[in-house]
Amino acid sequence: MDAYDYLFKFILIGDSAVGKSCILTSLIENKFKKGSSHTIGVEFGSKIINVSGKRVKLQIWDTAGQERYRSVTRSYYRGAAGALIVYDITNRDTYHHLINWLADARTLARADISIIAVGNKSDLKDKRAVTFLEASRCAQENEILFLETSALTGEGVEEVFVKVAKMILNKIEDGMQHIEEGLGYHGLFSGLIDPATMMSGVHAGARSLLNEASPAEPASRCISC
Amino acid sequence: MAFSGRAGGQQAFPASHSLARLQAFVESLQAGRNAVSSAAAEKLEVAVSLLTMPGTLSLEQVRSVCFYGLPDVTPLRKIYWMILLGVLSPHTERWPDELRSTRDKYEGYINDCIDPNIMQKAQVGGPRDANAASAHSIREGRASLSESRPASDHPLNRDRQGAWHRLFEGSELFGTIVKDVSRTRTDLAFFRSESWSLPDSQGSANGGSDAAADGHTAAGTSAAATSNGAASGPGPVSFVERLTRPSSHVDRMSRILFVYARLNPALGYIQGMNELLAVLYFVVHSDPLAHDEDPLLLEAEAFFLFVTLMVHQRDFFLALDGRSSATLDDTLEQYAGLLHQRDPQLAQHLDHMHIEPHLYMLRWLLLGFSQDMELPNVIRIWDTILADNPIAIPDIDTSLQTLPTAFYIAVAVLRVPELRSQLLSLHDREEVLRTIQHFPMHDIQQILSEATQIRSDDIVARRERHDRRQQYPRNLERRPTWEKAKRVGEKIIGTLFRG
Repeated sequence: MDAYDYLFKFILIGDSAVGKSCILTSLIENKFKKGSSHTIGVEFGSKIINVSGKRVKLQIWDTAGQERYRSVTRSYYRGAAGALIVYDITNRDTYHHLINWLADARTLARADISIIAVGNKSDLKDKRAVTFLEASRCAQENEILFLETSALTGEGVEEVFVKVAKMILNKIEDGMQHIEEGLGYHGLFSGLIDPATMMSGVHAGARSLLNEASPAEPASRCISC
Repeated sequence: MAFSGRAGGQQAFPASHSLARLQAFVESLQAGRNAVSSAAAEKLEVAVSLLTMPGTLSLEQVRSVCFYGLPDVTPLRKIYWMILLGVLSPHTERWPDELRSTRDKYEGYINDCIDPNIMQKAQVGGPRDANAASAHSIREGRASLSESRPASDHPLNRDRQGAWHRLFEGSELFGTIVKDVSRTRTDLAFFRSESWSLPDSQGSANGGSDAAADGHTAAGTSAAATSNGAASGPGPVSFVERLTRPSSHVDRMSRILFVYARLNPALGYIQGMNELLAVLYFVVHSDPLAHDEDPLLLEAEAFFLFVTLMVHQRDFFLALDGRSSATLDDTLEQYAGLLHQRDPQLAQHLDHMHIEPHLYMLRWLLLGFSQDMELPNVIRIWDTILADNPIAIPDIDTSLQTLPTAFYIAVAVLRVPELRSQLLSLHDREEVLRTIQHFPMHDIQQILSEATQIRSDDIVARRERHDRRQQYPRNLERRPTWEKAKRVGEKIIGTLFRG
């Protein structure tokens, strides 16, 4: 168990077969899972990344893309601090649906959720159906971040997560994101969970690790939704 | 309509092929020509002799043979599963008729789902066909179009009732299904579309050697005459082509799901159905002699196995739409109670991290573990699951009714020592969930014997509770009520804090 300064919940959303799970596998295992099947419900992952000198733990919820799973997956949005809306650069339909996913994220997660549009499969250059330029314009108009990735080669994958985490951190530092001390049970579904509360009284080992993480300031912070 | 070209003058169809094969197999066994290990031989003899007994089968016996795992000898499993799911009746003498009607019904469904007018449109009106089709068929097609349809019916008319709308809708549905089916179990060569081409995909090359393939080619050539060379093109044309003349296992599985979705608009097609079907489809086709069998009969068998399996799975799939049933919630609650009883330490650990069962159970329940195990293990576990599926249990006392087997298996999986100790050492919610979801369930025997044990203990516990309640009704009323109140209270508190 590693120590960390912040805990952010991220959701991976977007149409079916755009490569959400492959992005997650690429981030966590540094490899491409060939022939993987569709996600049923939700899959999970977590990873600690370094962002502007802070150790940020990401709790990632990778959701099923099919419309029929929408009402189940929506229940997973709650309290997410960051969202990756993934589309497939070789499939225009998945790009057009970006706007619906965006609306979903803003209404169901939290109003100040930090979002990035991710154009995946950037390795398939000759099949490209969505240009970098138009997607980046669309992202700008909707005030979200934008990057292209290839889960196959791993290009841009970690960058995407770092970019969103950085945005959230900036908001915290600017005081735009409200910070509170630990709120016990409240941590259940919130995106930014107080690590100390999650651990409290369970395992001394974990706690001591947390304590040495940042002795000057409290290691635990919870940002309310 | 091209598809039913052969439906009319159907001759006596070899619908009893699999039965004949079974008989031949039994004979070869008796002659000692099949090498089977002694332990397996005994199992096999029990399984085979049960089926070959004259008269009506005892469903109880069929269930108990299947529950402990069928021998891997074809086509035994297929027949057992068909009995368990109710595709075949316990009356063995009716099987040939039942199989034949299975095939005929399925063919009828296909024809119902592929509207002949739509097909005609796709064939004569499709952009790719215009050049390729003969002038004659175009003239004929145009004539029939202008006669039968109002002027408003054209490809750009998105009227929901319009035939063109249905064509596009069907094409979209089929496209979604094919996309999923082509990425189902691709680790097995059997499911990779390019590696398997069925006998009936060869056009007229089969001659008259095989009654089954013959029927298909007849239909095939007539379809090809009107829709020349549109097989590989995208869009509605190729979709109708693939539906009417499937040329691979992917096409056939897609057609099964397409027909099912069309016949069940309330459910439609949902991701995950392809995984369930793949298991059934494989079992139907894993018979080495299935090549000689009529491909449409095999497809029909897989279709009906799927339809009847979906009767049991329906609740889980409906729950996805938020149409959650009270029974499912109740069952999940019972499952949580069971886990607490069986392994309080682990259950508390999971509770502490707010790992609700549905977060990891959803996939297991929906797919019957089929995405979490190697196919042979899935098949083995389904022997038990299907055998235990209550086909019709009279609702005398629900407290006596056991949980569906999948729930006992779920507890058993978490109890696998390797996984359990790993889970207890983790203190991160997502890591715990990821570990559960990615645990390779290899040791299927261990899991199943643990599950069986948990189940029989649960039966005993339920009986005891039941008996006690009968003896001291008042005393016992109190405890469950209090426990329920506690649970409700916790739920309310949880919701308040979460909100």
